[in-house]
Amino acid sequence: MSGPSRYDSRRFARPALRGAFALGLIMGAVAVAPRPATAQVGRAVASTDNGTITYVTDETPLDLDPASNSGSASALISRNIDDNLVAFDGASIDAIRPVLATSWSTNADKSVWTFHLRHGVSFHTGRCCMTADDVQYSLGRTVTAGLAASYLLGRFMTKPFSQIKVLDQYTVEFDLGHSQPIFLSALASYFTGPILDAQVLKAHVVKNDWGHNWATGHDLGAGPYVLQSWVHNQQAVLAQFPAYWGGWSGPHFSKVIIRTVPSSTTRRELIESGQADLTNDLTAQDNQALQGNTQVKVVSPPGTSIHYIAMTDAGLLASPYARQALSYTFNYDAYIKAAFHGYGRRAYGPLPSTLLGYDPHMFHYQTDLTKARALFQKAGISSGTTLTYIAGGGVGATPGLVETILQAQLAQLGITLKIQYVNASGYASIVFGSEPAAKRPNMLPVSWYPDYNDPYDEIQPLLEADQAPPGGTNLGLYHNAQVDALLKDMKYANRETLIRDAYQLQDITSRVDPPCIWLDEPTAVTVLAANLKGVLFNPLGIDLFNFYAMHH
Amino acid sequence: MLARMIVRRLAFLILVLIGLSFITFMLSHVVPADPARLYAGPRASGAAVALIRHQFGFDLPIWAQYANFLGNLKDGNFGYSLVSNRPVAADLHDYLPATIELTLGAMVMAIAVGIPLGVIAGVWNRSWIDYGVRLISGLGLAMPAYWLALLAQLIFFDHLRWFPADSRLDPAAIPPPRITGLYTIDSLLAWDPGLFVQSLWHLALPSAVLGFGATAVLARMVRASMIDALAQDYVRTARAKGVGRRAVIIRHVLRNALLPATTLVGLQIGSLLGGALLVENIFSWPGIGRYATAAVFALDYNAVMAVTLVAALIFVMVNLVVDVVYMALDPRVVY
Repeated sequence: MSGPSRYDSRRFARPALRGAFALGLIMGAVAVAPRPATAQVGRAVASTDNGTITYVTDETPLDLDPASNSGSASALISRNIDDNLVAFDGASIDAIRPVLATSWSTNADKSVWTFHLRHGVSFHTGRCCMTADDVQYSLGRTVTAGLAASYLLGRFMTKPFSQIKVLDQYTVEFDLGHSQPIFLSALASYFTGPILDAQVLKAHVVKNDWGHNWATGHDLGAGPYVLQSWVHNQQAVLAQFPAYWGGWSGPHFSKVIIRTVPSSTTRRELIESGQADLTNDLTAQDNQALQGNTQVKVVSPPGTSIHYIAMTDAGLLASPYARQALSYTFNYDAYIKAAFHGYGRRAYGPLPSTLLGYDPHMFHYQTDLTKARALFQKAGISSGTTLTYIAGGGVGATPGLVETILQAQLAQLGITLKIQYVNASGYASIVFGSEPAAKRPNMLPVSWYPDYNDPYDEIQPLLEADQAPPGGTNLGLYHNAQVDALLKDMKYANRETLIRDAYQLQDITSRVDPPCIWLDEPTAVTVLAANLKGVLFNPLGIDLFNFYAMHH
Repeated sequence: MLARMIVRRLAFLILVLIGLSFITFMLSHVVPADPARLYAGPRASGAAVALIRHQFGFDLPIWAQYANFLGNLKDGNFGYSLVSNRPVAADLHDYLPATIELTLGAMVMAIAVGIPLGVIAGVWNRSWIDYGVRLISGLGLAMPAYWLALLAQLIFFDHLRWFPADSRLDPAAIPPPRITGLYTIDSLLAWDPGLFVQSLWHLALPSAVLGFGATAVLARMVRASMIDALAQDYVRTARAKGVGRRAVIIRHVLRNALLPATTLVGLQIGSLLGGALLVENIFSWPGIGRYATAAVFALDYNAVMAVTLVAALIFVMVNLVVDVVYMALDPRVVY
């Protein structure tokens, strides 16, 4: 065998280049080659087997307990394995239909609500039948457990176990103490309204946890589907509950597969190939690309989310003129175009356009750097000033874009925007922390959505002075006496007063004394198989799909 | 001697884990964060957040928190996860086997493909075969794993439909009865050939992607070792004595050439575990990579600590095995 000879680069270079070129040609040819027809096994299975629907999502369900779960994926499972007393009727956020309650009545001032329960409702635990005790315990514990969802019904009841009265086995009364016209809407919420098997819950109480640890991972509901299997971080499979009170006549899926697929690209490939029937949260580019695909439908129903930049009502931005100036500074058109590619629209105030009390004629800020400059001068903020912005934590639409646009706009006015990037936990620490106003960032991004169709529920946590952190969510430390007075009036108001006060409040917060730069209302872009029917989008639970109502 | 070496290494491992736990614990607590608020949700009351802080011990001095962690650790208790609302041990029980399966698959592929390629390239040095192997190994070293994963999905799933896009099994397939947590092994033990094939089919693409870089590194290392070994005097002597070419390569050259590769296999485990994070996200593989990502962003201290310690344990144990194999291959080596 000959020993190693002197290395000759020319001998290697040409063959290597030829090889790389050939490899590149092959890869390119495969990449641009027409794809196999999408009538593949996946789509064929979906069209011949009306029994199974597959939904792929980037979220992973973690917690089935309505008292604590605040994530969409967890609430989605809860929405399908549990039932509430009442529910929103289809896509309406006003009309309520009976579910586990067959009828209800209220007194003149709507402070006492009485519900008559459905007979013969079986739980997935095997127990039949649901009684008023189950209602009292299920709803009362969401307040007393003090977990993430306790504020939802805690607004109406501070002593739930004395305010929720069991009149008889199938009648339950809620004595709320004040007029609460939107109480029904709160009960329809899938985050707190579900009725669970109280006997099993009570049997698994450990160290005063109200059965939370058990409820986190077990199916205690009475809804149309049972949790058949749950592989964490992978998929949950729901199967038809034969003893469901609503019955199974008509077209219904018998099995629901909810798969966790973090990658947007993979979700898109699955829906295109027919291996999934429903998905959402794809990138704007993926949504646009799918518009031309006849095997799927891309829909963009309006939700109730709002993204905005909270401005700290202290220090440099204490003056309303400074905050008006910032509202004139931001480039809204560029942002909406770049962030949403047509799947979102501007927000102009604290209420989303789908919510009760929204004023379609409220003032709209437009980009106007001349006005911004004059207002900054009036506020005493001169060229050379530095403002601070905290970014990251997965908050706000298209993180990175908002602060970049704002920084560029402010630079034109000679104002520097210093951006600090943090993760979710760091964001929570800073914005919910107890640092004085002078040490808080001047601006921070926020995403928000209401729990039910109530402007007070939407605005009060954000803008009432008492709701400043720590302990509250008025992250900009906004304080306006007129706003506080209006909120106080709205808390127990009737519908007409609620809307009137909401209109006044929006005028103040969108024009006179803006607490935030109101950015956008994203739509909930959803991609579904073309043969999927019965998909209803309710803005108050836009991705909490009702699989029982769907079919191929 | 071997037993003494193993005992020494295990003792050293304990020191490593304690040191690592201390550093990781302190670093994770240095970052300003409020995991209790993140766990409670933005609308939880201050009292609710304070209660959670107390329940998880976040209101204790940092030294007390670390002492509690070590005290729980000796009982095999990693604490409770803020992200998953479960004991961390339960999460590891679910997710760790998936990552082990993926990493093992990648390493098997790297060894089964990389070593033969390196041998061939070394034996037929400066031939077309050698150039081809060097090109492929260059690509393997240059391509980032996440890009390769997306490309592989596009070509092998989206266009060719040869492999599935995600997950460990087909939708709604029931996993095999759990013995090891590795679906391929468990389905064999359950004597379910259909499920075995299905789990292998799902494992093939992600492990190939993950192992491509390790394949490239191994191929290059083995090639270089082969060339070096082939140039040694003992090879010339063996050939002069009339020993056949195949016998020279297999009995004399290969064993020496594999020594550096053996060490490399152990070191590659670390990079495979790190690369698994990205591959798991693209292929929706429910391993500890994804779990660790969520834990880091939420500053879920217990989960972060557990993943760090487990990864370190795996790395040290694998390298211990590698060292034992090294001793078996080369009796001259003494630790």
